[in-house]
Amino acid sequence: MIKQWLPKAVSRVKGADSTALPAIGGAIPETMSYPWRRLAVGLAAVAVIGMLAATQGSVDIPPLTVFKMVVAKVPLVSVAESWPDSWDTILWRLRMPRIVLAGIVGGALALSGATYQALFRNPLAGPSLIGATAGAGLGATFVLVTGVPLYFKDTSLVPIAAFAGSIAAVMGAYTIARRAEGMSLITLILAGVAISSAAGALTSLLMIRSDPDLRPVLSWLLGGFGSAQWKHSVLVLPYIVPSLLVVLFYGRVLNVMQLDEDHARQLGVNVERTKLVLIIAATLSTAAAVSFTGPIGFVGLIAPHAVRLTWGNDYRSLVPMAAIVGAGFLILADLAARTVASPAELPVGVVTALCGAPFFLYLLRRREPITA
Amino acid sequence: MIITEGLRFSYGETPILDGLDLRVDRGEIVGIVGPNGAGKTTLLKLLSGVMHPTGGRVVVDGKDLNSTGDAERARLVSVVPQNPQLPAGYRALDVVLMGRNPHLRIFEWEGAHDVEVAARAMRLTDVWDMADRPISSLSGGERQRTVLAMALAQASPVMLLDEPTTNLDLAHQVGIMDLVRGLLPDRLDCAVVAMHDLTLAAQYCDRLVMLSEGKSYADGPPLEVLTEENILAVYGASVFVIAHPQSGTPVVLPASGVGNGVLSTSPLGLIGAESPHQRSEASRGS
Repeated sequence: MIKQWLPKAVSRVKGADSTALPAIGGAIPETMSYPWRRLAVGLAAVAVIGMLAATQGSVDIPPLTVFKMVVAKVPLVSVAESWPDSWDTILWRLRMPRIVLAGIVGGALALSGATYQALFRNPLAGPSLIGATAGAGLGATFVLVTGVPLYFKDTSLVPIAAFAGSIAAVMGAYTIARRAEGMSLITLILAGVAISSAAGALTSLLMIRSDPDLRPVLSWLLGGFGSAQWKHSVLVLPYIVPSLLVVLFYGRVLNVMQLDEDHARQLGVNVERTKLVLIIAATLSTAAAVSFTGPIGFVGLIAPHAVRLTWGNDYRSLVPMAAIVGAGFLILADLAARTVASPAELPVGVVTALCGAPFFLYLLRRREPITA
Repeated sequence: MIITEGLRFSYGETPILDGLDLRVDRGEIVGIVGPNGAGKTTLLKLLSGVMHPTGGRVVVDGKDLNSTGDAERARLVSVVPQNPQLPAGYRALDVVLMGRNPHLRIFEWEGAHDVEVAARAMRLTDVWDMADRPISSLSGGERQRTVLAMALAQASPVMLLDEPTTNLDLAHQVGIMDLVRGLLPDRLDCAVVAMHDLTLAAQYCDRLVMLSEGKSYADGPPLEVLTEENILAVYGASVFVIAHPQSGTPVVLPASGVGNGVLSTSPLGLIGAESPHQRSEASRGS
């Protein structure tokens, strides 16, 4: 028996088309079932990693206590409070906002990396490929160095400018690549690369022409979670969750898109609409992820590949699994960033590259060649 | 069945197809032949509806492909492309299941029924034993039969095949064509096959359409279309056409050594100008 992957929302009249084909002999392959268990284990692992990360810092909190403190927050559950009040502040005001934001950003970057890789059928694709991060960098730098007010009332304008710059860069590349007969993905990549270079050059120019104190800009451009707050997570989730759902539900079509475009079209895929929808989803997700934390390299590139090399190419399971791996990886990277050289903090991008690159090289050596 | 009326297509000013009327009836396999650049591939893309004609229209089972949606189009016409890029990292069954796409909504995943249709199609093309194997591990013949199964899983009445036998050895060429032949009339209404191999086309098609510069130069049974005169006029190549010893269909033999269109006399006059023995000596020396 084959397991149904998902309960179907709509039951459709079928059957007439198969009567002319011969009966099946032999068993239907077992592996048709959706890997729910793997995703559940992955999510649980991320939760455990998050809690363990919360034990580390200037004050060490025992893992069991962290667990109790988390459980105590669950409604209707009462736990005897056997910890000092200051630990509550440390855990819920300092560490947890940071860990949760790192998880969300890691998941979002892996999601958009996986989507771009699938869409462009290119293993080198990552969140920054078509200009999203360079645009964000230019937007943030513009606000930070040009004397534009940093705040409007109580709202910091930096993430808003970063988000807008990110979207604008991708829209620019998209406008250039779009033709009446459809959009060329190769042109989109090339336009994205050109726009990224231009945005990077303008960012450098702004920095050189500005006030000598470049530390805020540099710290944004290197990326990090040092200033993470709960509200950041709350603000980015409305962009990331819908993007994740869209890409998740487009998983089957993404698989068909791995054939060449004409072939996918012959199989009834609306190729142009699919490209547009997925570019919007991946770009929104990237823009939201980098707006508060700055661009963080490598997560979006390697998390999808790690999943692909370990569990195969089916985008229905690859996309959510890549998001889970990206979340866990970035939580660990941020943990290293804030503890290894404590009390100083390393840029998290340095950690992701230093840990991610050797791991990635190991996967490349171990498994069959990457194809995306 | 397929009917085209005054089908035109051009890239900018350059016409590729120039007013083509074509009719493929139920139960027929029609071969599209013609030299490189005659418009075979363009014609198949117009017939499958992935490109729209600049003039005229394609009607499949009474529906104008210009005004059908993507999925409906794919439920009418399936395609076996010339050189399909099969993505690595998928099993053969996963690839065949992609053929079910036109029967599924965007957010809908394949169910038991789709797996059953795919499995039956794979059984028919004799690749069911490889359902669980990675597509990249299959041989050229197995891959081609997997692609055929994917097209069959579409369960469309019309199938288009673009050079289905290129890159296959002799036995696999015959195997694929026998398979396609066997699909009609029960599992397929009609098929259109673009082919370079004129002899194979003559052997398996009920009718041939010979394209020349975007127009139909000859249209009829293989015996009428594949004449030495037609081939010389359209391909600019001198050939001998003899009868197949088993079926009597035309067998096209190139007149070697005389090449491409510079010939003005009948190829028959050239026999003996160079004996087979001399030729093999010459080729050994080079």
